[in-house]
Amino acid sequence: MNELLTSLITFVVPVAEKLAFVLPAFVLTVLVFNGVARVFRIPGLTGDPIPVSHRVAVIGLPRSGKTTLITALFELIQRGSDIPNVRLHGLNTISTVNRYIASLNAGEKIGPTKEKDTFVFRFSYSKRRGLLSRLYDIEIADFPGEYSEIISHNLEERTQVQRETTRRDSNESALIVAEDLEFTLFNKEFFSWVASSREYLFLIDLAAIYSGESPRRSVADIIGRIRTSWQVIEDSATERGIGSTYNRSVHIVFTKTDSIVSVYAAKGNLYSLLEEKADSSANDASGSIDLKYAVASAGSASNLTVLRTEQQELLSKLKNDNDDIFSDLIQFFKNRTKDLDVTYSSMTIEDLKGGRLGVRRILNLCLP
Amino acid sequence: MAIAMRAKYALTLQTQLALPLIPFFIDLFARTVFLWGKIPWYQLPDLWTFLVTYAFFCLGLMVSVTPLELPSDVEAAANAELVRQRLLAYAILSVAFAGGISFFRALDELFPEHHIYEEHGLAVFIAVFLFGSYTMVRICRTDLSYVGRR
Repeated sequence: MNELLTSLITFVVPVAEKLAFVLPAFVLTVLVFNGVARVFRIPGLTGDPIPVSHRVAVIGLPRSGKTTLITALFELIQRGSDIPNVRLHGLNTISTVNRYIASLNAGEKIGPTKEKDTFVFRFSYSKRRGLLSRLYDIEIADFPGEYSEIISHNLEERTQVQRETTRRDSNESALIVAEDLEFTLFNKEFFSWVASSREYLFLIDLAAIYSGESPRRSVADIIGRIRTSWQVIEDSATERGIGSTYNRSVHIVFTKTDSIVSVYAAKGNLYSLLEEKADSSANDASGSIDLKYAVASAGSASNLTVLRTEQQELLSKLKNDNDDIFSDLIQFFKNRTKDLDVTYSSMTIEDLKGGRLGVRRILNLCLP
Repeated sequence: MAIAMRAKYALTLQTQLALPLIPFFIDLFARTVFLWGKIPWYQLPDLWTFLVTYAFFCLGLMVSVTPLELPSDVEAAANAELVRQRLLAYAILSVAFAGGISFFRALDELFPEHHIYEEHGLAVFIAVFLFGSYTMVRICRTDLSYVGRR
């Protein structure tokens, strides 16, 4: 015991002696560097902190509400009640976000994102952890839904889409080489960006699914597309070797929840919309069509200014049924990611804590 | 086909980044095996090798911080550039320290009667350790989030 203590002391004492000299010298050097960096405005070296980069990819079919959701998120971010010390970056982000929020609050449609509108919205905020505060740089990209559609097509379809893109681009005199397009899915724009994101929001438009001609087909189709998308992302991440996708967070966001509330208000359920019996009576069929019509019209509602409260019981029943219908997809992500979240959002239903349904939850879960 | 070939045979980015540090660990292992008990413990890791491999590690990271492809504001691209510059600064400092250590060793060899390395080797080891840990913490906290982005 004594020997151990002696050897420990003979090890620790010289280290402590030298440390007593070297540590202050090191701290002094860092402080001098900091001072020089600040005086000469060299932020990267040791001066102003460089923020931690955090990317959020919003993926969904066209018109599934991506831009609307991003706008609602920024509406909440701007208030600053959920995230303190937040700052929007870039004139484009500031003007676009405010224009979209104004449209949302005025009850006007934001409209689908065009290729030319593809843009990364950026904001930063600092978060205190103990004595140290950390600066985070959050990027949320708004892509036209057609890109999301490309990612989930099979190879033949992809090639076809690429050919169409080439044709369109050549018409617009864009210089895109055919060879480049071969790698478009993995190396260009959206896909590269997606592959290096930390958070993934997969948007599923409930109104479009349950108001379609064949909801069962629509459910199977969207599950297939999202699964394909994730596998493409996994493949792309493996190929580029930028870390396992298992450690990234996935959020399945069911948008336009308000559109299917009417189904439950009319004492129906989602299963009744899924069932398409050949021998169903004319009454049943017309009832189902009415419900689908109600879902479709609620889903295309443009006035998103008035928030209404819904019975929690009704909402929880709806969520249970829908979770069950999408259990395949939920199970798929549970087995492939460490962090999965399922959220229901609506721009016209009020959350229990105030604000639009699900938006605050998404914001809190997406940010580091 | 080209993609499949790359996926099958290419090293992952993490492996590529870790590669420069491997010679240091091999050197450390060999020195530990052969010199254990013959020299003070703080002389086991060859600081010169460490600093040079660490400089290569920082340069590898720097190359992995790519400019953004999607349109964003100017500041976003500037942040990526700042990370690159900082990593380059770490690499240059590492090499400079390695040069200093080489000079320190030369002095020790020139005047063996003064036992320079024996008396001040621990202080040098601690200084290099502080430099390595301080920069590594900063790399892991911030700079790694810029690696592999497009």
